Amino acid sequence: MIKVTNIIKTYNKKTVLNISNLTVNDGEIFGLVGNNGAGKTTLLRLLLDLIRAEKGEVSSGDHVVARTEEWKEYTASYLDEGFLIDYLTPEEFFGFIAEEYRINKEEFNRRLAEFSDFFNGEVLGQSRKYIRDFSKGNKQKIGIASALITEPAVLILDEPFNSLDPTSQILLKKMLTDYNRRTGATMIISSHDLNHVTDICTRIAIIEKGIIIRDLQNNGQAMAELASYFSVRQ
Amino acid sequence: MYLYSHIWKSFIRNERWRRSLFARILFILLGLYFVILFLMLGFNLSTFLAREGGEAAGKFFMWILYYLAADYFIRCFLQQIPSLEVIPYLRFRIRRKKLVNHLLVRSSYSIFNILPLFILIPFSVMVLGPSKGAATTLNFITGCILLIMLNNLLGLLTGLLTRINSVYWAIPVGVAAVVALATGLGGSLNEPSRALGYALAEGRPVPFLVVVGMIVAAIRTIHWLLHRYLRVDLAGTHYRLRSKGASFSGRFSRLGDTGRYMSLELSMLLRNKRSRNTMLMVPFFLVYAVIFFLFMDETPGEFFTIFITTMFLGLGAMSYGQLIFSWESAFFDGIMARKNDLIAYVRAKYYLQVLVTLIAFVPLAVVVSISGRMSLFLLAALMLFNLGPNSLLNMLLATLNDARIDLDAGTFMNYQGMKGSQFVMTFLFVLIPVGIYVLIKLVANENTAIICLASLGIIFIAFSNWWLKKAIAGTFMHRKYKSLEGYRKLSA
Repeated sequence: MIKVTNIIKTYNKKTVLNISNLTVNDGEIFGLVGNNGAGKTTLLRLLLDLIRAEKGEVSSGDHVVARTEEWKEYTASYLDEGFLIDYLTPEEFFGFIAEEYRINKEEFNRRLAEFSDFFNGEVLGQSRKYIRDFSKGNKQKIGIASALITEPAVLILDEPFNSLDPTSQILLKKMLTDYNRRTGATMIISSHDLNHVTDICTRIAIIEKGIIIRDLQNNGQAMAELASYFSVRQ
Repeated sequence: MYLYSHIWKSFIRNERWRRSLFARILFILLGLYFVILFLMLGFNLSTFLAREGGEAAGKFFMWILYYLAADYFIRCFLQQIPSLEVIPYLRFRIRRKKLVNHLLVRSSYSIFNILPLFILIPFSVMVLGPSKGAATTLNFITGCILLIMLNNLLGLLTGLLTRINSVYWAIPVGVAAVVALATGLGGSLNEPSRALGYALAEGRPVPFLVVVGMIVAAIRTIHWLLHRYLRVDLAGTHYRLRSKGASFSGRFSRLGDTGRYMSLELSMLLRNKRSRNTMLMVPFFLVYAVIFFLFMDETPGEFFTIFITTMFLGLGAMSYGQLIFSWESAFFDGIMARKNDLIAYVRAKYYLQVLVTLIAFVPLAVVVSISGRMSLFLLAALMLFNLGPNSLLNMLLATLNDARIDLDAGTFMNYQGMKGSQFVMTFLFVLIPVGIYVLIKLVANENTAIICLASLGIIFIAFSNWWLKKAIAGTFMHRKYKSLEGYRKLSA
């Protein structure tokens, strides 16, 4: 369970995030939607202890993320290209992560093989091509796979469908829902695409100017409500 | 005109100017220092040549071709190619010709074009003017400026060609080889160089026409090349060319997690332009050390000898160490969000500093023992001091640096990621062991001074675990959020 309590984050005296209480339950696929600058990435960075809030705290299970690092054992994430090490080849990068998480070679190969459709033959075995030389979409795939390969109990992804081709978007949705069903992992996914979010998330929150203004269970009505909210804004 | 206003804005709005007043003052002082240094060199050289009388101008002229060859060679490796700066404008309704012209003008704002003027103008005014008259002076200055322009264009042209195909690196290497072979086989460029100098000074039309013709040809070739290749992928071409680095994974596997991080660090150092250029300082300083110890006839004072040896020994490690966390600034969010062993990570960086120092120490020890100008024990003591206090304090200072580094940028005159305090500390790191040695030698004797330096080094090395865990990793974690925020700023 991930709990955000009384969080306030400001930049240059301007409050960019103000969440009094948000709980993401175990096994939920939690979607975060909002317009540009709404505070989605700021919230995800806070969950990963990459920025410090002026007030409040984030806890993951029994751990307050700013105080311990235990939560990193079971948490994986991909927010942007800063999560890649671009002077490595994909194989070296995945190998580095496998060693970091103590995944043995056999298991690592098995997990990597699961991404073969997703990679579409364009990522692995590219004869010493560094990550920085890949297209944006393939970098996105490498980043997402680097998070999933650790088989985390908590997965945090920022705009995972960006830059992916339609086939890969469909594959990714299937991969995420299958993984959630198989492991019961908790997922927090931000996206601008309402269709993708409603396709895979069990719960969806709308964030606006740093405040969670709607928190919806995805029971079939969510898409209509989201569409109505965002169309009114247009 | 807006293209030029954008250059100016990108310069004055650079994140570095938003830093502390101290850093800004230091940057200005450094700039002034280089200007004064070159001006002094120009005036001293001119005063010296003027005293020589008669053939003074001829002595100056005989170096022109050597200078041009060296300048061209250095430009090929260090001069920035501003092609990346026009990429964002490609999508606008701006004629390609205009962009290319802008690029040509932009390339002239280079330190390589300005510094030689500080020598050229004093020489022309002080030596040529009084002896040969105003017209000769003007002719010579004009001729030299044209030659500098030509070199600038040839540097740019070679830079563009090497981005298109790495085989063109053969051009600068070939130029260097021809000059070296000609000189080594008993030939000399002195006479043709002198002839060129006199021809320019006397205002003979043929050399002027040839130089102007070459400039026009270079401009037309650059235009043709950029019309054909100025596309967004020109920026990426050089990446692909360089994707051939060795794999380092498993190279230090015996050291466990530390070894794993060392492999990662080594990949970073050798696969990226900025870090690789920084590491080139080690062999560069070693060549300088060979010249200093084996070929310089005049023996400078002991203080200076130790000072310069400490630089030879430690500058490579120090240049790497002072940016030790910033090197990975573009990837730090990922590193910190993942499970990691920060102590092993910091230790890996320390071991690599040790490795760089040892790589400098071994050949330096050979050179020093051949020359006999310095005690090997003193060199070993300096090495221990470098491995101990200097490396560890340098790393501690690096934890305070939260500036982002672009690993693909060049190194020359590139202070991105550098803070004013670091310039001062680098100087102090070189000065402190020399100061300790000189002071103790004054009050006691040379052996005591060497023992004190070595002991300080050994004590710090013995307690390196404490330094790495508590001081360096501790300080880094304490400043983590501030550092990560700094690393995310793209224009730092």
